[in-house]
Amino acid sequence: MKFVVRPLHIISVGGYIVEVDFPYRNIIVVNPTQEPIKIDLPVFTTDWIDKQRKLGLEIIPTKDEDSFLSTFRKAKAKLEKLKAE
Amino acid sequence: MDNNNKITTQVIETEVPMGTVHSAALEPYRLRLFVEDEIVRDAELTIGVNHRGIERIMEGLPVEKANSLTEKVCGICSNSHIWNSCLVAEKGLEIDVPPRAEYIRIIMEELERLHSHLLYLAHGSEVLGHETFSMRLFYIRETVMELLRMIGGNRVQYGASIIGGVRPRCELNEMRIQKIKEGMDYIEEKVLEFADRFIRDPMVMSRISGIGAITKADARRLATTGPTLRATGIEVDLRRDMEQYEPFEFDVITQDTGDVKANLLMRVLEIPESIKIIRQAIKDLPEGKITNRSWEMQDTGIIRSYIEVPRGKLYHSYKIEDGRLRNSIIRTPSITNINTMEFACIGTHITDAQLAVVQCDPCFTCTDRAIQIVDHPFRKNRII
Repeated sequence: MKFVVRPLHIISVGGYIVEVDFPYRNIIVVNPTQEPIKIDLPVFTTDWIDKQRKLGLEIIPTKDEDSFLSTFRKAKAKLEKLKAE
Repeated sequence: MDNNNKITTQVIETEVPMGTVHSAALEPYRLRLFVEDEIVRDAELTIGVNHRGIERIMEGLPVEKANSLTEKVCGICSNSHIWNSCLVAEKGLEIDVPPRAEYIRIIMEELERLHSHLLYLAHGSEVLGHETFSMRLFYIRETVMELLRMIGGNRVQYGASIIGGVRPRCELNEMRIQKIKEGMDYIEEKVLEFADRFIRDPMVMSRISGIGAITKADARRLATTGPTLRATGIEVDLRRDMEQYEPFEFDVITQDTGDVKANLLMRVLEIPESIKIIRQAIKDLPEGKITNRSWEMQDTGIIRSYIEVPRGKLYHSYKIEDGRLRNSIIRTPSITNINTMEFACIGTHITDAQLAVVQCDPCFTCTDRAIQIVDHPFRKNRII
């Protein structure tokens, strides 16, 4: 399945991980480009991360013990800065 | 000698796009069918146009408020979401739910399964082009919708579960129990009549037999879940492992062929099983209170809960910090079934592709998780 990540947009795809043998709890996906990018979902393996990075997306995986909210806010602030430029 | 008489073959690859907004689709999704001689050779399904992420909105909200927000994930299985979300909190905070509340929750969940399966059958009949079947099924479904409205006060979002039990509004008195009993008798009779008529219709059977077939091995590889998985012959039903379902006897229905026919029959045959559970729950409904309010809020680690909902396995997970919700994840069954939908299209005639998608009971709204908020003073619509 494909999923559209809009230009200059941030999403988290935690609900799209089929967590069989997958070390991360959530994945933040940032599209810093001016183009919509299609990503493959659901996420089954860690190879997915490298594959999507090659498309020009910023991928930030988070683990159980990480603070999802602060990581998301940091990524969002970075994106907002990029948008303002 | 020239070779003009030679037969030359040319492969014509045609793409037939459907959507994002299309009259044959109930929800916004884009289906690209790559066709050769009207046979689908590959399919690509795209969602995400409606995505905002309810989990993100839930971050930092008080747990009770966040739980009620989960109900907005889906208009068909709203009860499943709030129930599972409450189960996460109850697990983390070690809250004992009164037995009467557990039974009422089961009744609500099984009523929801009934209306979801009837909706599936009605929509399936509509895609088949059999509007009479479709309308009849919607008419039967109306009884379930009215029962849900009677208990919860709403037809779509009943808000039955709260942390520690069920809302006082959902208490079952003698009058309500009698109405549920009558409703179950009516639905059982009508659904069995429908099933008999449906199976004996050679036109319908020829249209759905062997279409979009999925094998057991493919279902395992594609992480298929719910009735779509059971339609391939794999006997997996999470209700068997859920302690809430322990007091009830029911059969796990399976089919063998994994095609549209098997999927439709799966739902038809699961309806009497749900009715069986509801009848048992009403018969043995324990006395006592319906809400346990003697619990204290505390911080928890990450808690996970899986339940079986009408479309398959539903996963909710979060942790609680200072009474607020953190690190929330919701995985709906449709997300794991989407790959199966794409796969089911391959090899079918183009006219059957939509049927192959619909056989997996898709719910893209629940998968994309968009809700619409109306700001009252200004009447501005805001999708979040």
